[in-house]
Amino acid sequence: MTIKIKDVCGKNTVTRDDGKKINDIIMRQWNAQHSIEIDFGNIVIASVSFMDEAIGILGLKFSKDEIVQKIKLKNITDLDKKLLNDVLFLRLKHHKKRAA
Amino acid sequence: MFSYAKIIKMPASLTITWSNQITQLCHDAIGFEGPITFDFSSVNFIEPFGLVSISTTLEKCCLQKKKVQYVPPQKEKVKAYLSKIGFDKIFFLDDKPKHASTSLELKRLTALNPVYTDSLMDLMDTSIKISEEDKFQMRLHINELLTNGFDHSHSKTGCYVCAQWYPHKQDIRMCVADGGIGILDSLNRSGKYGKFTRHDDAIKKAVEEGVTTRVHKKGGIGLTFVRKYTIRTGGLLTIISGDAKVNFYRNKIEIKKHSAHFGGTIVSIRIRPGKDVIEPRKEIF
Repeated sequence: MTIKIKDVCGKNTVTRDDGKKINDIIMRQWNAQHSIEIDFGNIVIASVSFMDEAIGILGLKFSKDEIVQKIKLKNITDLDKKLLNDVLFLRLKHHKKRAA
Repeated sequence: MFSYAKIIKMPASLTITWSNQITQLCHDAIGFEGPITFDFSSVNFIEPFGLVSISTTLEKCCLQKKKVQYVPPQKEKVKAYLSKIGFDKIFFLDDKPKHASTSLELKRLTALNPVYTDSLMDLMDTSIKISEEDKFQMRLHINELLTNGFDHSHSKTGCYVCAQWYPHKQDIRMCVADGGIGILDSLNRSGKYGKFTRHDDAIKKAVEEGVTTRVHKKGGIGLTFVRKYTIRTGGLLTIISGDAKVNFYRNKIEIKKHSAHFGGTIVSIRIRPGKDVIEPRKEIF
């Protein structure tokens, strides 16, 4: 399945509430879908809050391998991809800390 | 009923260096029960910090239904700057020339406004040669500072935001102020981190990774990103809330005590575009 950010959020891609709309869809489909494609439509997000709430917090529930296997990114700008990697790295680190 | 106006005499320099004096004046203005005259006659230099802190105070005075008057700066250049940046328009006058290409209009926001962020990016494009990565970081910073302001402050006056590019110093200063409950109250109300009694301790806690006042929700990494990037460029993050001012430098945290409480929070960042130290990439995707 594909989640198109533009279709779900329109131009509102800054706040945690905006990001939660994407995360809600991911979580509803997590077990049902082999992979979930997220299409950023080449829009610039530049928001830690949005990235964290949409995808980052998956790192608190799932392992890096589970996330990479399930989530596929499409039409994401290089800088947003870097931001997402940073955010996810932090959340996976928090997850490890909690588990230890 | 008071019939005379209290004169709030602004110092010559409305910069963050003078934050103790400025927050004391803001406190005096809000605490006085009669008409207020904001006297800018001696002012000869203004930074975004001075603009947003005084604007928040003016807004509170207006909410208190006080009669507010304004004595403009004697220095023509400063008077023109205040007019260009929108200060006059917000509080006193209606007509305003186009703002200078190195400054971002003073704005009162009651919700996140993508148009404002776009204006900031236009300012960057027209006045500074910076990389796409720096531009991206600017956008990210303004988004995070405003998100924090709206999410945690419970401000009745919204947020005031202003930015300025200083070509001689090659740095950008951005400042966001809210007239809300302040960081200490916000953390204490959340009940997640114990009871803070000192504003400086609360400010230091607020920038720790993962700390958020959102109940049953995740968060608390936006300010971490802002702090890391600002410091990496050799810049400075300053947070003022209650009676504390905390400066976050690359190698130290400096705490200063103010003589008066600022009702709300002011976050100021000084960034030096092009000076970012590239960190090793964390590849997951």
